[in-house]
Amino acid sequence: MFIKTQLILLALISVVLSQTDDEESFLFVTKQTVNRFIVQDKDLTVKYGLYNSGPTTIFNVNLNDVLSYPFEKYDILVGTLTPKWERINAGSNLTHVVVLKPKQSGISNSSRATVTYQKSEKNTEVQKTYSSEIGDVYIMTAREYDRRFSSHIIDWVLFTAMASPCIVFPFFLWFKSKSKYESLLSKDKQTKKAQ
Amino acid sequence: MLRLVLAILAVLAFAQGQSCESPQFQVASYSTRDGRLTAESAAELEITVKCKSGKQPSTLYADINGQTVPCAQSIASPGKYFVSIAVASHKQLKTGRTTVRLYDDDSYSAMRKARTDEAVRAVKPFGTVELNHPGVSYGPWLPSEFFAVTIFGAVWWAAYRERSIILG
Repeated sequence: MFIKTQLILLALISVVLSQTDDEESFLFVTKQTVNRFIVQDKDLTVKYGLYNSGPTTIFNVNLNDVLSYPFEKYDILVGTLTPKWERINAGSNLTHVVVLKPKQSGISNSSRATVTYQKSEKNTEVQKTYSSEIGDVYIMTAREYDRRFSSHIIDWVLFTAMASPCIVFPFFLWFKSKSKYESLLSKDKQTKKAQ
Repeated sequence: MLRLVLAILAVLAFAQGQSCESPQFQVASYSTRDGRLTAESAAELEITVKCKSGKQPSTLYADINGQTVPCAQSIASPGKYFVSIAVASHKQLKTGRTTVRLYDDDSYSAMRKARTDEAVRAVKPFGTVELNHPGVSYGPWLPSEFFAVTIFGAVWWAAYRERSIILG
């Protein structure tokens, strides 16, 4: 019984506390990659999801993820690492996609993106939040990826070329003797007919 | 009240000549195409808007399959607008050409005010662009090992037949 009243009290307090904040919104940011494998010189697609959880529109949303993908290590193919939106409506989702190309292989740390925004139009105080992070990722070399997934056509052509002497040489010997034998046989038949 | 304010704002914007007339679009589109490399599909449009007056629309909204999202902009590349699409599986991203309708502030507010579907359709968009997604490939249908095994099997079969003829 005592615990029950305590729980009810706690719930009441939490409701009251949460209601004091109802004028403001919070932004949740996720960062993911859609890639199964991250491969050198192949597309790396990074997806950011922004969700405005609150009851009001937020303003001046600036996302910055330049630090995770320095230009010495990554090329940007499509998109931008510093997108901005004037507003994100209450309770709405937003996705942002960036396509990069890793220049180096090996382990790379893909850390979080920084997002700044204003909680309301009047509130000019800049709110800062971070996205989730991907963490350490392993960037495969292009050769490693090819070993797994390429069609291996060149490999098979080389294999055929290397295996063919063992097949073609005996075949040639056999073919030679066969044609010799057949010509002898036909000559024999001709002479028999002539007689 | 809000409508009135919006209307006044729209009139003000019109009076200041901020609207972009006869815009031209340059689109670079990207979509995930390798099903072995990626687990989910994502697409992106990079739209460069050129206006006659030289002024850029402050915000653009994109309508993709009935969903309206604000376009991202970048400080690093002004005049460019980014539209992103991300879906949970490769099948959910429609292959072929998808028309994306763009709205600027004026047409977007007009669209929001429209109550019926017909009224929404009647709103003239700022412009339309296309997203071309050729589909996702999972590599060749038959692996190269299959062809290698078939060819070597055929060679072996021919040799074995000749041998059995000689011995027989």
